Amino acid sequence: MIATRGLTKRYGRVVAVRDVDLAVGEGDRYGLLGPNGSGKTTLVRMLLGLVFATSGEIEVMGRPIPRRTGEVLPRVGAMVEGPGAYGHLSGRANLALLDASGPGRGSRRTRRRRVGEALERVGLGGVDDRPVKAYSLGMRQRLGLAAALLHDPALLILDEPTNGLDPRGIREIRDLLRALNDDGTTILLCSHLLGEVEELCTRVGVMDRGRLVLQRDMADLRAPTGLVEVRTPDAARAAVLLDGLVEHRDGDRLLVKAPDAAELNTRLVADGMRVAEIRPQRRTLEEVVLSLTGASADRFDRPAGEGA
Amino acid sequence: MIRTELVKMLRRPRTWVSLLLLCGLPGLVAAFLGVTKVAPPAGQGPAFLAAVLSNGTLYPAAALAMVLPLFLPVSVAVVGGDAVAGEAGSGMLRYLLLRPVGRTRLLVAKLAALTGFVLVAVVAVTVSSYAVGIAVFGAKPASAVTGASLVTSMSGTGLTTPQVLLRLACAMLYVGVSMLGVGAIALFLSTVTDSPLGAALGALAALVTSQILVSLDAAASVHPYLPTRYWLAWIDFFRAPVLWHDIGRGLALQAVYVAVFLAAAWANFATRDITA
Amino acid sequence: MVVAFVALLCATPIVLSALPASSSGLKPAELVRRVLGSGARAHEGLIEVTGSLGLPDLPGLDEATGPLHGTSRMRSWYDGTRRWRLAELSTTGERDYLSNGDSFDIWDYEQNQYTRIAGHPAVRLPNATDLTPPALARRLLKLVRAQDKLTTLKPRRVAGRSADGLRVTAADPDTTVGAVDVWSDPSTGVPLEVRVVSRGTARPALTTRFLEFAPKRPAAKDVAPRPARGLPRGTVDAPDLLSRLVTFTNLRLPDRLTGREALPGTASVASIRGYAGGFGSLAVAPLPPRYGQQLVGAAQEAGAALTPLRPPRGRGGEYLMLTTPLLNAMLFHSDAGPTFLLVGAVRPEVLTAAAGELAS
Repeated sequence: MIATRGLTKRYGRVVAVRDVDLAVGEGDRYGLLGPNGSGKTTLVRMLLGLVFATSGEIEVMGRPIPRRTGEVLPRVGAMVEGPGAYGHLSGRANLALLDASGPGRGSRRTRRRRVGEALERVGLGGVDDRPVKAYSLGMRQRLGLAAALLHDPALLILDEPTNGLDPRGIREIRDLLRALNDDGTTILLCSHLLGEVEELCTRVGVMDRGRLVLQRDMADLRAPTGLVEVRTPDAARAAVLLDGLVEHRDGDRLLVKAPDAAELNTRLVADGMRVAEIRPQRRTLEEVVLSLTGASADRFDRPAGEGA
Repeated sequence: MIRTELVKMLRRPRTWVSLLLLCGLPGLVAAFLGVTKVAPPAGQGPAFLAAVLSNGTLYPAAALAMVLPLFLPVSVAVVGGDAVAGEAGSGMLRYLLLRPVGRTRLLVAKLAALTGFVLVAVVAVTVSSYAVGIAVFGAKPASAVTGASLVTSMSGTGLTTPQVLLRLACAMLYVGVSMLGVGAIALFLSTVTDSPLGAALGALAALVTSQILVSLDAAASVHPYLPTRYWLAWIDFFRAPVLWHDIGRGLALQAVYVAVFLAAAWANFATRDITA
Repeated sequence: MVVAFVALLCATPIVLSALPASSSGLKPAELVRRVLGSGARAHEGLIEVTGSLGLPDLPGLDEATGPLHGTSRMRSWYDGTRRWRLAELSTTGERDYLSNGDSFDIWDYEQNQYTRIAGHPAVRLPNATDLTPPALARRLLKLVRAQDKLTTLKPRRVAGRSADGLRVTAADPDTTVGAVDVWSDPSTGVPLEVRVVSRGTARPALTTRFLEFAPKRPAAKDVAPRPARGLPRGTVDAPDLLSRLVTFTNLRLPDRLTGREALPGTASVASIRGYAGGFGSLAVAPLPPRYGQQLVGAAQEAGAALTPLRPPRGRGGEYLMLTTPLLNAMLFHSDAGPTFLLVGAVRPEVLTAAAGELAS
């Protein structure tokens, strides 16, 4: 669906995106993670033909960008860096204007229906005629999503879609995206919220200071590490019993090298030890990301040697 | 797309406020003149104002002379400056481009909408001031010896009412075309910056510079290139015979300005990174 | 590509004005003869006058001094010496001079006044009608004397037409005129552009030229447009202040001044007299006392200083000198009583010498 090769963008002497090979397959729910300023937004803008790459190639739906952006964009829905709207018009009027601006118009009736459906989908079906400037942040976010969904896109590119939504709203959007994905829409989601990506995505890419430092399926990332976490009141005894296999002990918690948690459990119980909790260790996405990325780009520390 | 842009413009409250102001100034002046009957001394004040006390038919010409130097260009610069920068400011620019609307198409539609605004503005000023003129000053010359309702041209010949209306229409269109150069400059600046105010102020700065240079004899060598050089040529419609020299040049100059700045706007906008 | 396009557009007018002009190859004396003989040639066009003679605004004289500074425009329809119309254009109106056989009318849009000038005043102030290229060229070339040098200039394009160039370099050391350049239409001899350069400078102090020129007989409705019915009309005997003044003064001026002979023709009418001296000619007008004082006051406000004039013999007076690169004017209040206005394209010393002779 999306493939880039050696994609680089410089702004003067600053390199915003460096040598990125992004690969998003059809039907993916791809999560692009990275701290603020890591180049996610610039990358997305390049994919959409808003920003021109310094070097490298982009292909979306098999067509080169930005040369043939016009053929690709009608099948792409996008929300980049927050929603946009004319503050003095209602949400419905905003969508109608946006709809009328581009190709594929159809009759007045189908256009009205299309706008109505998009609003319905994001939970703004019953919104009144108040101007957008009176909308809450969450309502604007929903309106932005509705604009992206207006033309049944085959590819949905969303930059921080749940910004400003409450937990229930976040959940609704997540369900909506899942449903769209089930119907065949490929989704590229940019976020700095790990949880959001962890919940939703099937594939994940991590950016750090302009580079794509990781790109893997979520299932691979979260495969068991070969360690088992055990919590037991008899931790001391267990440590003696499992001598050599215990990697780490912290109070009543043990980290044990074992291929199978069930087998370990049987062994502990057989020796009369009480097991309060036992589970195979999986790395969280947070650990993966933090291990790969440096400091946030909005943090400016003094160089180490300088001192106060 | 052009239709959409026009609808967008007409739904902006600001468009209506500026039209109201444009029509309001001649109305205000008419009210004062109508009450006091004190005409400005000959050769001073806006053109034609001294003549309208005797015949309101010419009031649209006086109204055009009033709004031409400042009000009209300011409103055109504001609308033109808002064209692209305003979309960037509301965040809609990227969504329009993603819709997708081609960048060239967007520019052309913006220029068309701007032209529409200029036309609406000059027509509104002309029609409203015609109504005001007739209502306040009447349509009959005060010095009429015979019953013929005549307006005197600048050359002292008589103009019948249809002739006056035709010349007013020509003057109105010429004033409208005169504004397109400013509009194109504002549109170009609007693609350079993301601030609508900055673009409008830039266009106005260009305008003021041009006005000052036009009044400076030392700068005579650049006069034919200045956008405001032929602005007052619409007055030549009221001479007998009509003096086409400056009118033709004015039209050509505005066409050149529009072509140059639209090309510059296109060159800049089509290759620019949209980061707003 | 865009840059090339813009460059092309900007270069167009420069290329157009640089189109080569052809010369008819006439000798300068022949050109002078043709210009002087072109008075009957019909033509019409648009004229631009550019002057840098900053004369102060003097009461009653602004019509004469106005076009001499800054840029002004005129339209001319010319069908012979007795049938023509000249419209002085401004952004708020126009002033038309209409000559039609025996009648002479002035229409002023801003004053909303249509005035018929009855009779033919012997003298009048110069006005816009004297500044068209044909009128100015003929007036100046009539002043050319044998010792002035005639040369041809490179032909130029004026109003889109090739024009033959001619330069008269003034020989008289008394005059402020350095040279007069005249470009004329080769087919009719009608002057298309005149530049007057003051002595010792290169930039013309006064330029008048056609922006548009057509050597054709103008339509009757353009030369003599029918005035609107119901215009406020009036009739006066004198077109301007000077021609009115001469009827109020009754002072006989000398027949010779600074070695210059009085011009014939004016002496019988009134006291105003012109003194012939080629480009160094000058004019003297005695002013009525009240108006004289008014003029002195206005000139003083404009920054001129009152200087005493004490010639070695005879009586003197006080004077004000108004100098421009080309024209110099002097207001002289003699101890004997009368005030004189002396004007000419001559050095100020010539004017003071003349004033000295007037006082004694």
